[in-house]
Amino acid sequence: MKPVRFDYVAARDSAEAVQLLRQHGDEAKCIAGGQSLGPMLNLRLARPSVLVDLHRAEDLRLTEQRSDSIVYGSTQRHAEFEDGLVPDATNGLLRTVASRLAYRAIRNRGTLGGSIAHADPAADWIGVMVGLDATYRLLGADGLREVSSTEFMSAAFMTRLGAGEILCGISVPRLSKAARWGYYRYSRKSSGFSEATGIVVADPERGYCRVVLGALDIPPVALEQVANALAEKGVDEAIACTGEAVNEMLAGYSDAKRQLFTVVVRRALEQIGEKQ
Amino acid sequence: MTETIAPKVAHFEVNGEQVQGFPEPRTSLADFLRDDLNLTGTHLGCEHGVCGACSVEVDGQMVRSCITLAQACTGSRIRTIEGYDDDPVMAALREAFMDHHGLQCGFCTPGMLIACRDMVIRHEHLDEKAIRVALGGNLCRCTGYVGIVGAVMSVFERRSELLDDSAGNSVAPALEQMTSQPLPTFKRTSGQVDQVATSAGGEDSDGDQTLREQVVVAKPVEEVWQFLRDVEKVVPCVPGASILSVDGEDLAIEMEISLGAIRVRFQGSGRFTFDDSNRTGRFEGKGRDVRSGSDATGVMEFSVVPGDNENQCRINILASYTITGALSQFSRGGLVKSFVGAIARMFADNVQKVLSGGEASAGSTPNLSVFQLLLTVAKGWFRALIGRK
Amino acid sequence: MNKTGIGQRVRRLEDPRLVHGKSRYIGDIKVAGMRDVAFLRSPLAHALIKGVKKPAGYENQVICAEDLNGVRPIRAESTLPSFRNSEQWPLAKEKVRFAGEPIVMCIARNRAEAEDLVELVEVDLEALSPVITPDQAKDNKGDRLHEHWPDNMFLDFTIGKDMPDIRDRADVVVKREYDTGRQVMNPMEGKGVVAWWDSQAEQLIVNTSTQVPHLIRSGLADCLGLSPDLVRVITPEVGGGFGYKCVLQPEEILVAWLAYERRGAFRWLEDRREHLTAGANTREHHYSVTAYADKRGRLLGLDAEVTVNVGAYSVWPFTAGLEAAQAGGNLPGPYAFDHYRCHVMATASNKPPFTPYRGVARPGVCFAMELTIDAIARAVGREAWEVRAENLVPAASMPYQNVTNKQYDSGNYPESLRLAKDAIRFDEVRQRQKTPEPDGRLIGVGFATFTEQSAHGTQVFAQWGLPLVPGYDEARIKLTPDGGVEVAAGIANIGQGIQTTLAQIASEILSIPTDRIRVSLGDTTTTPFSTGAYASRGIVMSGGAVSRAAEGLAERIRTLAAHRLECNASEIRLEDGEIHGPNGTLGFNELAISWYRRPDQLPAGDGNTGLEYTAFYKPRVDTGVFSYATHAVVVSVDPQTGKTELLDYAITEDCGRIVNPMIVDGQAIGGTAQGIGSALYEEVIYDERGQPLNSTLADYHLPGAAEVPHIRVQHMETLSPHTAHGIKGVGEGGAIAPGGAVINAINDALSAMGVEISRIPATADHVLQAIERRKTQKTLTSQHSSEEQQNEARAV
Repeated sequence: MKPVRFDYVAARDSAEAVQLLRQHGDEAKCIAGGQSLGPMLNLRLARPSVLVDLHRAEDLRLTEQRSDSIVYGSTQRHAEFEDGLVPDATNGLLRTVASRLAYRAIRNRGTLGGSIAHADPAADWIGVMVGLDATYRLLGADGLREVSSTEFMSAAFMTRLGAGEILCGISVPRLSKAARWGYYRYSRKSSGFSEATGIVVADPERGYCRVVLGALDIPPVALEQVANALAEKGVDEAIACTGEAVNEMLAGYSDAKRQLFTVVVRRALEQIGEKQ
Repeated sequence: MTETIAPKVAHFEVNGEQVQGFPEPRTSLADFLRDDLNLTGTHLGCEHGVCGACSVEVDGQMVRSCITLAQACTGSRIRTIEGYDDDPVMAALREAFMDHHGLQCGFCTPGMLIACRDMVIRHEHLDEKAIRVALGGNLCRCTGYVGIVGAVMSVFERRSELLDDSAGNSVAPALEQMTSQPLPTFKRTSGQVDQVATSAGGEDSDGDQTLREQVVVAKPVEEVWQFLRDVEKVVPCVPGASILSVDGEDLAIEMEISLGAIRVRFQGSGRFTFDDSNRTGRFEGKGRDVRSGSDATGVMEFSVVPGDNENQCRINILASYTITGALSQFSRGGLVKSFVGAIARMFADNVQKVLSGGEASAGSTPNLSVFQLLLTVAKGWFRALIGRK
Repeated sequence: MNKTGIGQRVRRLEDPRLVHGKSRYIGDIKVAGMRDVAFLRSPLAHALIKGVKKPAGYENQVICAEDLNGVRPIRAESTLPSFRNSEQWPLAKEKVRFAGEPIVMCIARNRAEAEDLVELVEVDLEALSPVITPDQAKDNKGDRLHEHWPDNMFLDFTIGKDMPDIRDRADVVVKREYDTGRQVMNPMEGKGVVAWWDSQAEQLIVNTSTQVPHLIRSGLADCLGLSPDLVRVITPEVGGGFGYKCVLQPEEILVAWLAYERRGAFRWLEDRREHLTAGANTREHHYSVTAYADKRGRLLGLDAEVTVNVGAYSVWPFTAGLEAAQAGGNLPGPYAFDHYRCHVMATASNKPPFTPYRGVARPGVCFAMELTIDAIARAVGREAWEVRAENLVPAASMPYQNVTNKQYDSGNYPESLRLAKDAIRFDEVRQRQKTPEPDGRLIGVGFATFTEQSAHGTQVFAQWGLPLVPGYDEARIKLTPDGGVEVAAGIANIGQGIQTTLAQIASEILSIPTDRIRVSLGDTTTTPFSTGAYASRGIVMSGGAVSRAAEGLAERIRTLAAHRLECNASEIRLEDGEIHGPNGTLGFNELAISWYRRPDQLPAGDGNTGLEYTAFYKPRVDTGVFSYATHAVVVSVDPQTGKTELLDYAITEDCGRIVNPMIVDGQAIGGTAQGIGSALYEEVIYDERGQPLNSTLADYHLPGAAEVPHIRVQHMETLSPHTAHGIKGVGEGGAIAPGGAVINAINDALSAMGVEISRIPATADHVLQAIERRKTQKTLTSQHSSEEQQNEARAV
């Protein structure tokens, strides 16, 4: 189980990374923490000719604090969120998510942007970022553009990241002090990948509310009627309408799967209730 | 074989010694440590980042050396199980492991010890349950963990003798609690999502490798049918597919498929048959990706039916496929149908574009096959391995 | 008192090297000029090989079946009735019979380059219809695996007789079907072999990660057509065995062949993907059980059918028949009843060859039997533990010959159940169940009691018709010039701590502390014959041999010491690391010096028996000695997710005389963790083409620390009347009961919902689906529970 032969180049900054991607074209692949790509390289499922390593690009590790949001550099590592080494725009949601992601050794190396760019529907960040209404900053030869987290992922492992583009920053709106969140992930093993995730974010000051199903086999799904109920009628009403909302959204799924997704959303909602 | 890629020099500090080496770019840190430096205490248990036997420290942080490239560590300080002889926490853990029977065959032990040390250093205290959760990334097949957990608990009890936290051991601050006011009800003014038209069609039930999809094309039915009958035009509309040669109804086709980081090239043959009377057709194909030794066969039946108005029609697709070999050997998830909508839409877009005088584009997602031949790859397995980058 | 003798909780001699990462496993062995091999493995489960195209320029580095001159196929014949044999060529010849079967071997400077080379080889396969399930094999509809067979059955016979009287007499009839998933053993270290030709010794040196080095020598010699003296097999540190490393593997033959043929050094290290796909080889049982009982739940008879899906080939030396035959023989378990019939079948399928895994047959058997006992208890409306206790062989009946002629040698089975029931605080659990849990979880408690036939002797193995029947184990012991001891035994150290426990036995007899006892193991040249470490036999067989050898050496020491200390040999005592006579004391080193450096001090005429002694051992009664245990577990089941959590786990076990309590606990607990894997997590899923769908540890779920509870072990210590020191084996037992105990507890928790689980692993998915199915059923048909449909209650 050893990778195919490839060449390896470390980019010094994001501009060089983009330039290297252009230079090597189709056969080049970005690597940051490599915690997802590493296994695929060893299994020879990923077969790049050139790896462009982003983890030494200093500008991709910077955090930019703005009044209404924080822009996280894409190669900030999960453990940096877990350890509180970067400011948390979300009253602890990012830290909580980071601390439950895979294992510490993976968190020490894996990066926020790497996970998002990979667009595994079951990855933790990709759903949480939809819950938070984050915006992704993509850098390519034609410059910088922004894509909403709700539109970034088109299907499992398919994103709007163009050829030669890198994900360079993740802009997360700041939650107000009054904001509340719930996060419940179900996995068979304590450290396993999520098989169903419920994410709830409510910020009365911004009038913001979102309820998201994560870890489906498709991009994260927002449950609009549950979010409306939560904002306008409260937690109990939201819980009450969750089953119906999930059943409607996941009509093609088995009873057991729908049941599971209903449970995780309810439990995420209950977390908000508990903290009252 | 393949052309050689010149090894590059890399510098490390390994267990306190300066080391210069020439690992191939593809060489993992684990292989470099074991093969070039003979530090064989770092064990390879799975080589895909799950078992933890290969855990080492890079710049003071525990990492998986099996999925970390040696070249990516140039300039780093590396410590392996052979490098803890003067470490009081490691010494205490070793004694405790021996007293509590925290090891049997010893294969997971180096990685396990490094993980336990990391835990003791980063936390002032953990209870049994938290220790068990924190050990999730290190698998042991012999002990049943009871001895390991007991050993760690005993070292936590002695922690203050072994460590001076003021001396810079980074104990993570506790998670701050959320604000405690109750959530008032409020007017929802933001956060609304227009649900992307998604074919959240549901999971791929076991053994069901049949996919159904319907796409709408804004062209009259007969025009679309005539287009579909022209294999040399229609095949390129399938993202990733190209015709190598045509011999009557028999085609030689190549399909290059990219899925996340995976890229596969199937080469094979196919045959179209058409029934003009009811505008139905059938494609049978088979191909092989030589490099992975995977075979795929697929059948697609399609029909074109009138749409809601005369300038519109629908293409119904029913596809079934099989894949064998390395690419198929992952757990079944429900990802397959997730692709269908996206790909079918791209196919429809391309058909429409070409019919309107444009060119088929690979779209934002190049190289996807309408036959979905490879999509089984993207099964549950990805979630675990890839969902944590 | 001897501080390192039998019964002492001493630290293991193995540990210091292991905690420093300083041992030497197969992958750590380096030999100058060594080449790595990688295999092109069949992507198809069943196919004809139409051609192999080697890449130009690499013909010499690419080996296929036709190149293997002189190599013979693996043939593991069994004399069991109806058995059909298979031939397994180390590289598939003409045909492949499972996905993962090696077809081509590629040789290169390192593994990565060998894998590069594999990708350049083209193999043309013509698919045949695969046989995946036992039912497909029984239907005989797919293509035949072995063309000369009339069907796809390895084994098909019946033991015992029909029981019409019992059928008429029974108050209660319980019918159940049970399934256990196919598993992969997953020692953390994969299999591996490093072989070279030693031109000085003129010998083929084969280092292999095995449990059975002496057997592998025989097997290699057979398959390579070499005289066994040309082959030396050495066991390095072995990173876990569990049965996976107790059979001759094709890769071992191939690497040894290369080394012999090319007079060079070659290596193969199994990677996890190879292990998970080509090594998916154990525990796929199906049971169909009809139990007859009286109205109190007393078992009257059992009529069963056992099918084991054994895969493509018969493994050497344990054969494709052992698992099913043992299942048929062991199903009655620890229970006393008189009427038994079992239809035993082993089906061939396009899956990897079946290898006996820790517990061998009994985890399946125990699962089926223990669920049946609980089902009977529910049918008669009594507590399962009571029904169980009343059916167990009572202590007063020991020794007891059961319905399949097993000789249960000693013990008190009902007492182990009572102790486990107390340990799990059964009454408190029943009390707790009366109040709903605040979080909606359901609580359940379950038991499983089993016997662990250990150190099955010559007669038993002969009955199973193995091609190689184990008999005596041997050990050699020597007093060294400095008064230390060297022990040599042919068994392998696979993590079970046999280095320590053998030293403890020698220490017990000689009174020399274990840190002065050097134990060498697992080398066909330097250690005497042993068939190896499997079947919970090491401590009984090898331990017995060491005990005998130490006795022999002690006798010799007494003779020589008597001369020095001027007394009779019978007056000499070996105590506290010294030799004591009525007139004085001698250090072992002083005595040793007499032999090695001052032979002038020896009694006149002495001289032809040195300070080295070899002994041979098998128990007096060699039908195996029976350890036993009861496992008790409390679970919570989340009915909304199907997820089971183990809240408490208690074991009461009796393995006779305990040599090292720490190691016995470790075996019981470690085995239990594997059993929990079988019960809740582990299964290889195959698709309908025979593709294994779990090629990584992210797909195949091994229990982690959070999935295993704190397991408490208490001991009974009934000495076996048949063995040295009264020792019984203990390596496998832990893995036997968890399936039964955990699922009984889950079924207890779900009983109010009318849900009954009957397969393992009982994954959360599976449990949730069963619950959801039950909900649907309830809305469709209002009344009949599945249990009512299955149980036939009769008027007395």
